[in-house]
Amino acid sequence: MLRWLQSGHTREATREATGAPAQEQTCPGMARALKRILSKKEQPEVLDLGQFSRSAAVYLAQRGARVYVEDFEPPPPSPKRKKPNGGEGRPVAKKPLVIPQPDRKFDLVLAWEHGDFVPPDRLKDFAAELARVLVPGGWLLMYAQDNPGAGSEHTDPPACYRLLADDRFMRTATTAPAQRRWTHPNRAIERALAPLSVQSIHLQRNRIREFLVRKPEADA
Amino acid sequence: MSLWQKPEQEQNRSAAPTTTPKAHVTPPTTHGENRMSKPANIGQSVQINGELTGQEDLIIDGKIDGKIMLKDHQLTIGPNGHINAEVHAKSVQINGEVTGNITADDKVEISPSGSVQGDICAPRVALADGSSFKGSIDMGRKAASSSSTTSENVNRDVPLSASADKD
Repeated sequence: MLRWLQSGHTREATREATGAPAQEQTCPGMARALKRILSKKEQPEVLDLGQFSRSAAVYLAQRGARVYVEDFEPPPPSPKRKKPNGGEGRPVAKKPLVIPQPDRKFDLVLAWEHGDFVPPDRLKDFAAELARVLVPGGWLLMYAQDNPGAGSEHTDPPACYRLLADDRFMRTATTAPAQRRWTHPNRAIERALAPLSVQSIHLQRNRIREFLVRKPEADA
Repeated sequence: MSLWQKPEQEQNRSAAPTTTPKAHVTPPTTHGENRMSKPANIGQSVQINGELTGQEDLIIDGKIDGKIMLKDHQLTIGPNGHINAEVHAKSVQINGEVTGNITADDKVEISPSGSVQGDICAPRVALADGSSFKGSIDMGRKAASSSSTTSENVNRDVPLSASADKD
């Protein structure tokens, strides 16, 4: 509740934010992660999964990181086996969810809003894949919409994130085609990220939640 | 009359060379200077397999397979250019497709129509919205850190203010 108030998330702000033009937002989690990785290594390795956030990749490269850019395609929901009576049974073989990067390579992974485009039954696979590419002690940043009015599933185009400073970004809508999108509750995201440790959840004025996640140092 | 006309015609004839060639009057240039002012062009129908080196700016609209070395010069990949090569130049502007690692001493710029699959190593990088890029970006340690001037930056002759540009 305190964090909610600190982020300035009032009813008026929420109403104003819906469909409002892009505005600067603070991203304390990003600032914290960048401060830690840039002080720890001379050239930290960063994985950027944002197809529409290339300027953020350039910003991070300017800050001294080596940034790897991957176009991540969210997996479709697992197809369900049809029962003879017409009902749906257990899911059949899932399409593999793979980030084509080696294990334990990155000090920071920017997943932006990709989690929102991953169906609930694949969220755990997605989190496991993110955990795989992180070094022990590495950081993960995820953003998720918090829009209960839109329902748990809706369609929305991906957003573009521009980093203006370590602790400020601007989120703008893209002209990309709308995709299926899920509003995962905090608990579902935290549960999916289970091997990792959620350090903070910051609620933005534009109904975006920022998850700062860390992989434990003692990862086996 | 004809006696009077003849000298006029002759006068006109003699005057003609002095007036009309003015359109063609260009400052005498050497072959090399002419080359420097206009970048060389590799057309759309040209395909090269192997190593391409040069000492002048180059525009590529064809297909190159191999290696491109244009030290101290600008390389422009045209919208029809298909490059499957390791590229090294002073600055690289990409409007077409490149598969391979790109190293530039000054700047790499990918336009909205440009597509790169490979690693970029340059002090300044600009990726336009709509451009396609898969690989890594290495701008060197503190290449654009606006807070401090390091000897590394001075040695590389990279203006700090210029290196902070974005797409």
